[in-house]
Amino acid sequence: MYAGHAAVALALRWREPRLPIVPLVLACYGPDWAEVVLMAPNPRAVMAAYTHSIPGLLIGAALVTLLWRWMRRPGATLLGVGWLLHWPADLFTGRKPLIFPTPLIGLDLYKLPLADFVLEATVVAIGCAIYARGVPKRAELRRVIVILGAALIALQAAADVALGVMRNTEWEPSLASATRQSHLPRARVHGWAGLRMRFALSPSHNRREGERWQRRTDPGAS
Amino acid sequence: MSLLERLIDFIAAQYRWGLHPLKIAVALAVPVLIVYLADRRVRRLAAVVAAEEDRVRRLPRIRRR
Repeated sequence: MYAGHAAVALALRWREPRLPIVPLVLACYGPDWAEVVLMAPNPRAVMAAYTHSIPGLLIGAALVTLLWRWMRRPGATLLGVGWLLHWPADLFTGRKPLIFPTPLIGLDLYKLPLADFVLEATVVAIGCAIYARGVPKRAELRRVIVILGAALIALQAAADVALGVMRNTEWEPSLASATRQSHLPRARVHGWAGLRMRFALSPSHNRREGERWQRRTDPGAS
Repeated sequence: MSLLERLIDFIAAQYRWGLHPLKIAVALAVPVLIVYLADRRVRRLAAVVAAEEDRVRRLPRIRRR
């Protein structure tokens, strides 16, 4: 997610108006900034395992919360929450690691730029609407917030158009590891074996059932 | 080629040439800057509005009418 993280920061700001916006936005983009810093000596894909995995996210959020609390500034918890919300936001647009570098989980909407734009524009609109609740109801203030939302949406549009121009791979959403991707289309196994596969507890059990079914339907193959 | 097409071509070229940390840093800094400028403007306007409301509240009732 790109502009959506800024919208998350705007929505969180409503909870604590004394918290300066810049640290909050930086915290919402925190894993990305950490990745940029760590990218200097290592490739990006390797660093994502540290910055965007759930343990890395928890460590980053804890560090930023403790640092802000140590500085005795208001809204330390919100900074941590902003850092943690990076992962569910990225789950929609990309594919991110859970604990280890693989498997990568996510809806991968960057490969469908129009869907990504619609999602992020919606998130920006909601974030701006929540932010607007925290300021006096005056036309000139609302105008600034509308311009803010429009600027973020335009930024997202530019990124999505460039992604659309550059698109050279197919959409590959993933909600589970390769051995458990039951949501992806695959050859159906009918009858009792198929029923047992659908309720199987382990991937190896599924594999055995599939082999057994294949032997039964096509004895000449083996 | 219009300005918009040039901008899109420029962003696409950044993707095509690979994502250098500096490019990502610039891309991440842009929304931070936008939000910072807008929030600063909102806070200043809100302060003006609050000061105006405070001034009106302090006026004698007869003048307020």
